[in-house]
Amino acid sequence: MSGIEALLEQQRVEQLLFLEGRLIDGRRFAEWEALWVEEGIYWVPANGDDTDPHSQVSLIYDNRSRMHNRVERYVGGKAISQQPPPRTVHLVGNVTIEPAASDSTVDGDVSLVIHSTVHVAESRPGVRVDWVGRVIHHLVERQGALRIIFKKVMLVDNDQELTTIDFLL
Amino acid sequence: MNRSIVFTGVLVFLTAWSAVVPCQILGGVYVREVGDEGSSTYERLIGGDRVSGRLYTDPDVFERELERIHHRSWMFVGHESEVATPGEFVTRRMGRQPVLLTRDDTGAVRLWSNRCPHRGATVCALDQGHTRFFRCPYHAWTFDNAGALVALPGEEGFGPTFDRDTHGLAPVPRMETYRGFVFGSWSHEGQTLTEHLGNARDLIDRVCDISPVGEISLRAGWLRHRIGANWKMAAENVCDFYHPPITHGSSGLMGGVPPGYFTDAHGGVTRDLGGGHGEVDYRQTEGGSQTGLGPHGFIFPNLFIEAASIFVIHPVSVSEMTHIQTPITWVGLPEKMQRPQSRRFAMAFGAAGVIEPDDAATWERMQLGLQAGEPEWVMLERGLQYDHTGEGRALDEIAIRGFWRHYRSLMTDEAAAR
Repeated sequence: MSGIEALLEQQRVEQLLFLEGRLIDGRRFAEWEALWVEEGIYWVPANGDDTDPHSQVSLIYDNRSRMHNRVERYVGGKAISQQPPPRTVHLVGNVTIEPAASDSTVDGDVSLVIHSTVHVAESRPGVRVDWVGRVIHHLVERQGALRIIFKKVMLVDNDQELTTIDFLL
Repeated sequence: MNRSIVFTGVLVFLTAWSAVVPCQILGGVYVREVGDEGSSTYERLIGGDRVSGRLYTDPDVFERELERIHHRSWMFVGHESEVATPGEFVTRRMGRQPVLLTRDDTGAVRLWSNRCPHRGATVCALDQGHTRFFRCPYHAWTFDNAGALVALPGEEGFGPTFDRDTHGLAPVPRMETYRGFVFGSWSHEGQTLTEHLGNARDLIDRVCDISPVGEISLRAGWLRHRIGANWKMAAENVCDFYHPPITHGSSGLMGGVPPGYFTDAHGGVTRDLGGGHGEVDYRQTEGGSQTGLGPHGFIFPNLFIEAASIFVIHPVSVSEMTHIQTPITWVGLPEKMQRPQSRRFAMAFGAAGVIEPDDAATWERMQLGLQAGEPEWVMLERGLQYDHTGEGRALDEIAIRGFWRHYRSLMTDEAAAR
């Protein structure tokens, strides 16, 4: 890959991550869901970063239908914890692309592993919390567009007592 | 949280002021009379069908609870499966006090104050792990996992009379287990665990007996949710089946609940088990229990057995608790029978679940609302006509009143007088 191509790929990836944060903060959840492929997994581990999600508790381990259920709650008007909805601002940084490994294809798709950091400022009545973590995205190219197939958010305090997280990280 | 700091400030101000003002309600805020901290106050604050809002908001009440309940009563600490092999340990709190649960090299489960007997530092800083020795960071006094002081630098400087045997880790005064559930008490005397559990032993039996070998395992880790509300709101909520269709209407899980499930007509019962314990029981209804698995009940003052999970309620301050949860694994039960259960509930609980945040938000709203001193009372009248039987309809507040009866006996001198 030439230097120019690498720059373009970096920009393309960053734009996707920035857009994801912007869609979440703007509560544009249908558009956020459209960033994902159907087999996507959204994972927020607890009690460390490298736990086994099938035998250990996680804060969030959502497949696509659970992600949909989650955002439906946010907009459905019945969730007590969304009265009023928390306001969030995502600051995404330190975006790097991991060199493609030979096994990084999923069903023949080109797969990219992206490392980044996120700072989510949350505000709800009487509460201001800063959520900070390292993030890994796995992206695939489908129909000419980059889509998210896996997202793991490793909160710096995921082994501590945490207040309610009723928004997307 | 900002708001609790503000309200604590108001209470501190009023507490100081109230020393010279007779008891009355002024401007919607409680003002305390001089010397009303004794039993007679609590007899007034806890009625048969109502309790004072002050019990959730007054820091002095909270201090008395720690002293008379959490630092005296039997408390659930953990489960033997969490320290399954010699050397494993977990750290916990009993009330405000840090404890260390270990399995020593002989295989015995032990419960210690997590406090160096020398100068008081915690001897273990981790949530869990495996070790043969605990070493204090201050002067390297070192204890084995049976609590014995096995090494200290410069021992000769303490003189010839220094006795290691009297300087080991301090055990929590009493520890007993029931079917793997480990309980501790800071009180040197009082009821045995069996007496404390009373009818609630049945809840533990029923959750264990789902396993073909009668055993559960808790090794999936805990989710720890800090909530800006008084611990008793979580305790009362266990046997409140009046709230789920309202509070949890958004969860998406209600889709799996049969129509009319959360109504009196469905036939479930709520039961005051005595001793502050209670349960909601759907076994006798059409289709059996909600989940086909474990019971749903509360063991006073901090354990909630919820079908497929164990919850522990930690008091933090008058306006804060930590609500912690772990899923149950039944030893010997085929994976395919456990999985549907864990799938259903995995997304429900913890700080980022689709059920628990709505409870947390509701309790936080209660904590805010109860700052209003008018009206004084929280009402608990549903199903009063069944109280004499100890068992009412699923939505009745019988078990909640049972909680308060026991609470009242501990906060007054009734229990001591028995």
